[in-house]
Amino acid sequence: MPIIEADGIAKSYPLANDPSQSFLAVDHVSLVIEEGEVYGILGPNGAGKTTTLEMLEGLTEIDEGLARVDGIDVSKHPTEVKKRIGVQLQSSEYFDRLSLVELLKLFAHLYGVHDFDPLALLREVNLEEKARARPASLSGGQRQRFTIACALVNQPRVLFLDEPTTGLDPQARHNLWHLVERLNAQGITIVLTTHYMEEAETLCGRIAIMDHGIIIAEDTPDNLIMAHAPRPREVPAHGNIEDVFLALTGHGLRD
Amino acid sequence: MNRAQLELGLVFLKVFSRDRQSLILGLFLPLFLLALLGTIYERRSASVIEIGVVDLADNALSVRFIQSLQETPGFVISTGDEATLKEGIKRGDLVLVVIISSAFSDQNQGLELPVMFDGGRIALVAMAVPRLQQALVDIERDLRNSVPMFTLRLQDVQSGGAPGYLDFLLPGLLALGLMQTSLAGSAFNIVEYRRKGILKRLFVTPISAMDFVVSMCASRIILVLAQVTVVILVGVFLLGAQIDGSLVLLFLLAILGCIVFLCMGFMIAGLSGTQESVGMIGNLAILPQMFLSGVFFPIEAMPGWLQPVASLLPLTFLVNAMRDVAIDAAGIVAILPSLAGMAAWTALCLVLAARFFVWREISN
Ligand SMILES: Nc1ncnc2c1ncn2[C@@H]1O[C@H](COP(=O)(O)OP(=O)(O)OP(=O)(O)O)[C@@H](O)[C@H]1O
Ligand SMILES: [Mg+2]
Repeated sequence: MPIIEADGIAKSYPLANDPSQSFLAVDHVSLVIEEGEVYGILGPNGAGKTTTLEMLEGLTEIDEGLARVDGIDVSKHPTEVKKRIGVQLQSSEYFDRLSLVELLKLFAHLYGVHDFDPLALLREVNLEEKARARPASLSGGQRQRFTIACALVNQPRVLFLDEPTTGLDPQARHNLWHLVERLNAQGITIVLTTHYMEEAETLCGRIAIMDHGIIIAEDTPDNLIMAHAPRPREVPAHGNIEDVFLALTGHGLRD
Repeated sequence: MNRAQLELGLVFLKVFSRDRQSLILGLFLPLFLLALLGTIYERRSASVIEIGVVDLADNALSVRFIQSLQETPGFVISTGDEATLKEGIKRGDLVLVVIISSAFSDQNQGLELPVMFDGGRIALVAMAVPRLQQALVDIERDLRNSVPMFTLRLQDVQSGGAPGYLDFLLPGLLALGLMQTSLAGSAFNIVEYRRKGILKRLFVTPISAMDFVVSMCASRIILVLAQVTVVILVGVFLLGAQIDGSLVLLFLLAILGCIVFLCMGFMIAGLSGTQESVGMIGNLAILPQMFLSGVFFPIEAMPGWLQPVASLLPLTFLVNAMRDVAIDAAGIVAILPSLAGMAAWTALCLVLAARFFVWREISN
């Protein structure tokens, strides 16, 4: 039984240079994600990854099409959907002057979870010794782990991660991958976006490559490589997902 | 209020109490102004203390007592009949009036001398009474070697009379301070939360926009009540201001005022997309009210053409209502016109806020 289904969801925004015109940031995207998957959306800047996620999360109104999370219509019951999912936004800011523990407690309360052990959750993401720190004092990797902890307070069935490793050094990135794998092993379905080919390749069971609001390819990393990576004439060596990505989206600079 | 609203409200309070800048602006500024302006006024007249004496005895001893008072540095003595001098207190010309009863003589033992004073100027009275007592003791010592002959019986006759500047200022500063806390607090914070994405993060959770508004308003109302309590306590007990009317009504007005300015804050947050424009629009709303709403001096002292505008400002309605209650002990009926003015502003701001407010970050 799929935990996420999107059927032709679309979102249009007014054009920045001509507000009387609009363009499709997400152009009738359909996807099906099974429970327990790690599903990656790979795409250049402005491809529509964040917009797609936020429509599924009930944060952005869906202009057209239908999305269901855990069988619930997102447009009709966004609050019910929000109760079941955990969300890491692309950029997260918190109230200044509150400690990690205080913030986690607040988020738990907002989900109606009132008996809650923030320290246990901080331990899970390796931030126990930072319990009294303020988010502003955390390093990039610690911050992302804290953001994930915030997304876990309601024990979600699905975790949405929007570029969880952008800006992290290789150590912090690998550390975060392990965290994602651990959470997935606990049964949480993961939907993430990324610019990093290696990340998509190692972490995701399936990848959707998105550009200009459209999913232009969707499959397991291996199948995508088989189908799209250019083969050198002599040696039948594997390319990698980066080759696939560039072959499909071209080399032109975005944004 | 549900539990999520309660917890979010507590967080707002916590965030505020850890924000030193708003704490200073919200609490210490009104107190500072009150102490500064209130005592500048008192100091100016403190160099001389005007005392009225009603000499009903008119004998050698009473003449000698009056003479000794006249020789006391800082005292300015005027004599006259009781009714005239009592008026003097009420007009604020005299700080206190001593009545030398006809029985005043060197045979007295424990004779009570009534002293009428202006309760609104308790600081001055407190300064004058010991010196008055000293003058009496001096006479007593000369006559009978310090066997007490006279005692002073203090009675406040100011109630209903002319209030001091401090009494005038206190309700004005209460209103001004609570406008800062409610209006600036809501408008600036919401725009900041929206710009930083804190709002977006909050709405990832299943709370509704209404939850946020309820928590925000409840936390501001509690802040305002705390602020009003502290300013009143300091004003009355430390600075000697006097409040004649109902405290309950005053606190009720504080809550209503808070609601008016919260709505105004939401409206301003709706009209301004960015941090800069909220600063501009916010100050556009706050500064004129600060100076035109009769906080520091009565609207009647303003140029005639300005008065109609000034009298329609929301802060004017609140200041007037609070002043009517604090000084004239007005009841709810007497302040109905001011309440109507506040209600009209609330409605206007709510309509505009509902029309323009957006929760999402506004992309330039
Ligand atoms: N609120 C908005 N108003 C107007 N245009 C928007 C809005 N949000 C997104 N867009 C536009 O929609 C398009 C898709 O944006 P989106 O953020 O979904 O891309 P993305 O794939 O997440 O990019 P990135 O990798 O940079 O995060 C972009 O052209 C963006 O400018
Ligand atoms: Mg994005």
